[in-house]
Amino acid sequence: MVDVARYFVEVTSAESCGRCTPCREGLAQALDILNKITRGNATMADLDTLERLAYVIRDSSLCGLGQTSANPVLTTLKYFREEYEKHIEQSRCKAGVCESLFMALCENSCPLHMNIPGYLQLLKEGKIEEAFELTLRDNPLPGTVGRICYFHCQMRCRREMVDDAVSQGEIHRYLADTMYKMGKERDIYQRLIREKLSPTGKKIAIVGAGPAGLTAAFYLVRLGHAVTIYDNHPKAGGILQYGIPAYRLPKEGLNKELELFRKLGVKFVFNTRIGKDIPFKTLQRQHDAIFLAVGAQKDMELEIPGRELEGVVHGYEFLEELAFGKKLRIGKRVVVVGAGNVAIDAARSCLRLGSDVTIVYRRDRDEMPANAHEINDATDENIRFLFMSSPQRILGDTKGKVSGLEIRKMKFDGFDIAGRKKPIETGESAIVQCETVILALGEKVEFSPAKEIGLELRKSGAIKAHQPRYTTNIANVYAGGDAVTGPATVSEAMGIARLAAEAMDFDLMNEKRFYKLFREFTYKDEIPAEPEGSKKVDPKKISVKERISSFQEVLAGYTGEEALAEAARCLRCDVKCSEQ
Amino acid sequence: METTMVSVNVNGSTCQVPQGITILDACLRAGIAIPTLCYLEDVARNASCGVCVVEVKGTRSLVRSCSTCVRDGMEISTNSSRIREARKTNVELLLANHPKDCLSCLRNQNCELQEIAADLGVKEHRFVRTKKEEPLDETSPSLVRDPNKCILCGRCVAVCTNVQTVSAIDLSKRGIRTKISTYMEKGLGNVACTNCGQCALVCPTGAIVERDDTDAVFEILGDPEKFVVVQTAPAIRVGIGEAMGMDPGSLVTGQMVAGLRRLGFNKVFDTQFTADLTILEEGHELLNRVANKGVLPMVTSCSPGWIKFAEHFFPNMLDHLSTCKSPQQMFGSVTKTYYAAKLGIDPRKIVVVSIMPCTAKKYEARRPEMQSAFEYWKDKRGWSDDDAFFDVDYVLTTRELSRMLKESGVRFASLPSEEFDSPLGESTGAAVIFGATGGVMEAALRTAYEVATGTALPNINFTAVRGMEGIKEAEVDINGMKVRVAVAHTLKNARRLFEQVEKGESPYAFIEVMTCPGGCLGGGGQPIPTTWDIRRKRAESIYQEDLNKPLRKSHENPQIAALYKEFLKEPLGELSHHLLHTSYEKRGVFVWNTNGSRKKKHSHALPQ
Repeated sequence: MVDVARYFVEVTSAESCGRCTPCREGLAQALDILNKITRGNATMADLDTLERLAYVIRDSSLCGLGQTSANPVLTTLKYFREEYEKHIEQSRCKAGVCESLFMALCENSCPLHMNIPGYLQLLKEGKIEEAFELTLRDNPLPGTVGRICYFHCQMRCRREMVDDAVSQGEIHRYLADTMYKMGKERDIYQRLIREKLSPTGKKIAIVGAGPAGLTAAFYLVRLGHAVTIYDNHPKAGGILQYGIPAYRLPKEGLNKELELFRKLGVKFVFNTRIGKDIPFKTLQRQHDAIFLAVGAQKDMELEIPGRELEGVVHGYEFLEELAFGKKLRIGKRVVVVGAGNVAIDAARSCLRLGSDVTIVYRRDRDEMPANAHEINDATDENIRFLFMSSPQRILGDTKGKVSGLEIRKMKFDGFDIAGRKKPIETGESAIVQCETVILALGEKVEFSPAKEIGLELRKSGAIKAHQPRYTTNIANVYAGGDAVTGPATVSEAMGIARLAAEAMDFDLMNEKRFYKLFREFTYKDEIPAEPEGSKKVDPKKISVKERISSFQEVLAGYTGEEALAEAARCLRCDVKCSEQ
Repeated sequence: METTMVSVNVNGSTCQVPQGITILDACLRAGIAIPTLCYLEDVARNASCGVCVVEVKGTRSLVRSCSTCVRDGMEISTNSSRIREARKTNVELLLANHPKDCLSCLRNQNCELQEIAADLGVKEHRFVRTKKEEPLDETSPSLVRDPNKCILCGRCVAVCTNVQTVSAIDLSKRGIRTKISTYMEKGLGNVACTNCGQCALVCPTGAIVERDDTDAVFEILGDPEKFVVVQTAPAIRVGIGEAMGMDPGSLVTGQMVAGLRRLGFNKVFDTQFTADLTILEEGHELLNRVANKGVLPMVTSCSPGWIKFAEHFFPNMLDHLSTCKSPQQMFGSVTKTYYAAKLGIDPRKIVVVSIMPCTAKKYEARRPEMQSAFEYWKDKRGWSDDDAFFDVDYVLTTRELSRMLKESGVRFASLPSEEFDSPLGESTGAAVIFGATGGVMEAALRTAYEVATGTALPNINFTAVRGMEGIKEAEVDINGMKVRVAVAHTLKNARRLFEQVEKGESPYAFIEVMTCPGGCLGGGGQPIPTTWDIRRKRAESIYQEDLNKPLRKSHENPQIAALYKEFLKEPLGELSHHLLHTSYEKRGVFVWNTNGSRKKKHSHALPQ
């Protein structure tokens, strides 16, 4: 939006007849400030000047051109002010338009801002240890995230204009897997341990051992703070451990990566719920700062008749119980209601447990929020989809057990307030026979001590934290991850945690120290005249037959040759002509 | 015709104002002065600066009070934070691209931008420079344009186009690249510019200024080898006082002479001496043309802006112009011939400095034909072209003189009154009034009447040709012959009269043209500001000085009589022809290849 405003002002400033001051001089100044913002050279005072100037241009220009020329600035400032602030305060252009503010589009769209072109190049040059180290410094769970990431990076990859996006995530999974296989990660772990900054004497409590909590711990402990993570589960990992089924994320790999945290000196306190087992006040008293990363695991309810029937389960609850290894009684025919990753995970898990699975969704395939490749895999595995079908009623038999789901057929008509196509009822209904209904309509944040401790929440139940420092209304208490955003992606949660860790360290130490955790890597900045590499390399998958009979990992990952071939496809958008 | 009154409300109080006036004028009647920058009464109403904005109930944005007429029932607010913010921001925006070297600017402390910034309380510089540095336009011998100091108010364009109908400059390009341009960026010296300097007079900043020759004059004053003679135009004595901090129109002839002596001029003479001489030559020329059925009407040639205007826009009508040189140039050639011989000084050592209310005079002095004295001596003394010199060496405007006086620490107001040196300091009342529009006409009529009829005028005050009317007419009965004359000031009015002449419809025998509004007293080199009120005050003093003079007719000037007796012999004689008369160049409008020069390139330096 900043660039949109800049573009409009550039046009109007060139079109200005130049006869009156506010339009001629004012637009030139506005353009200068907008250019500064898009290049990351502006201050918040410039933003104030821009806004005041825009009002004067609108107010005192002689003709319609001048009077309306400031409107793009004023409207974007009104509705997208945080984008301006992000440009100025964090030098970030989320839209990936302001070239000077990022390295490459993939890096910019990655919530962790991993130096993707960097590790691809290091891999190409055969410096595999360095490539791994680079990914690790940006992302403490490279093998895990490489498997289950939403891959924001691939959505903005410029290679897509040639053929397909580069599989950046698959490559850092390959790097991690290879290093662990060869045992070479130990040296790098040792280096990180050696590099730890001297103890600061500050104590930090992290509530929640999921992706956000772990990421914050990874940085904070290396900065020399004493970090303790509290979690109500017996193991670390949060959703990685308890939400994502093993066929997507084998737990051996995850647990291998979790070892690093202990090695770095992070203390874990398991099976402990804050507010129940330990009062929040005690936690506050014992620590200098607290990071709340409690996630969003509470299943949303679907207000339809028949919810109380035996055989109705909730999606996340189901996955968690599955992860705990509990014996689950599910029927021969299962209907999953929902279209997110949890719905797909639940459906594919049921399939592997031997059921016949149908996914019911009130919109169509294109509208499904789950990862596209997950949906494709589910289709391959013969999961049925009933699109444009809204659940109306869960039917029960005389014993109070589920016997089916009544659905109402929908059609699209118009758009809702968020701009999505709006499904409305057609009046036609149908019944899907089943013994189990899994409701996976999304999750919400539930942090029960909030009220008692006076923590400010949003209407959704999420914790109110202020970007980009992720402070809450309580002093020295920070929050991040899904607990702040509501259910989002692992990498987004980690990205927030990284920002929060930086802010916490600065607040505790009153000094910029975060940059000390990173180092430069040397690699070539040369780009070939023509795009290198051939078509996208897809990692091998095990056969559908093998898949549906077990929880074996579906994707086999890259071989060395495949990884190299894929890395070669990177266009190196980060290599730019030096500015004049 | 009765004026319809409308009711307007200004800041809560209602008042009755005439229909059709602007909000600015209405507010002034209601006792509220709205700050303005680009607006200039009677000259510019460009609505460009955005300073005079006010709130009018019912309008979406602010309106410009200088160019919006009142409506019945209009509710106007002139002082709100919204208005102050807009005014201040617009001035800040102009300052952003304006150089901050005020201390070394010719217009320091006489700058409307400086003043308005202070008045509006501009306290910060929030904006940066967004324009590229532009080179100065130094092509003109009279004026220097600095586009960097220009705030694009458009006053110069308005005065050049509407008042002078010259259109040598206009706004070009768009957006932030907008600027004041000459044709194809040739520069003022290479286009049809008359050098009148009205643009410099109306410029609110230092973007157009006179070419400053004060340093060169100071240098020459310090040279013991040189005999430096100064001549002062009639309009200086009613302008320099003002430039030295006195009231507008202050008549300071005696102090001016004293001040010039303090600056170190060897002789302080008066251009009015040669103004009397001009009348004799021009009066005889007119009588001659009438008697011999020459080209009529004859038009005066004292105003060099007008001369260049005629050469550009009426190149086929130049035989209507009197062949007389202007008083300034007559003074130069008389000084370097008659006076040099009288004193026995090598004319090459004489430096003639003029103090003129005029920027075009700087150009006139550098016209290549203005080397009559050199031509006069050349063969007599056997000099080569390397010895060539101009008749007038330096021309300073009133403003430049004031700067020299200030720089020299002359306390002008407390100077005693001193007399001009003799003999070239002697003048009559007829010469004084050369400084006001209609003055040359009146002076010429006083002499022509008496020369032609041989009888004394019953009333020497020709009031019909006085005043600030654009075109004035009169009819004089000379020996039973009715002679119709006309007077025009500003080139727009001159154009109207000359178009009449071109069509053969002119009823006049004699026309006076002054380039600047009000005549020389409103010249481009006069103190800033020069408004109509100030022009009237200066004119009053001019006519007062005429009354003060014991002699009021040029032909009664005893030193002029002596000049003819000792040197020139008779008006329109052989020597007059060489020294006091000139010829003109058909320039046309498209002139840039000639560089305005026939013989050699302009040189601003003194020929060595």
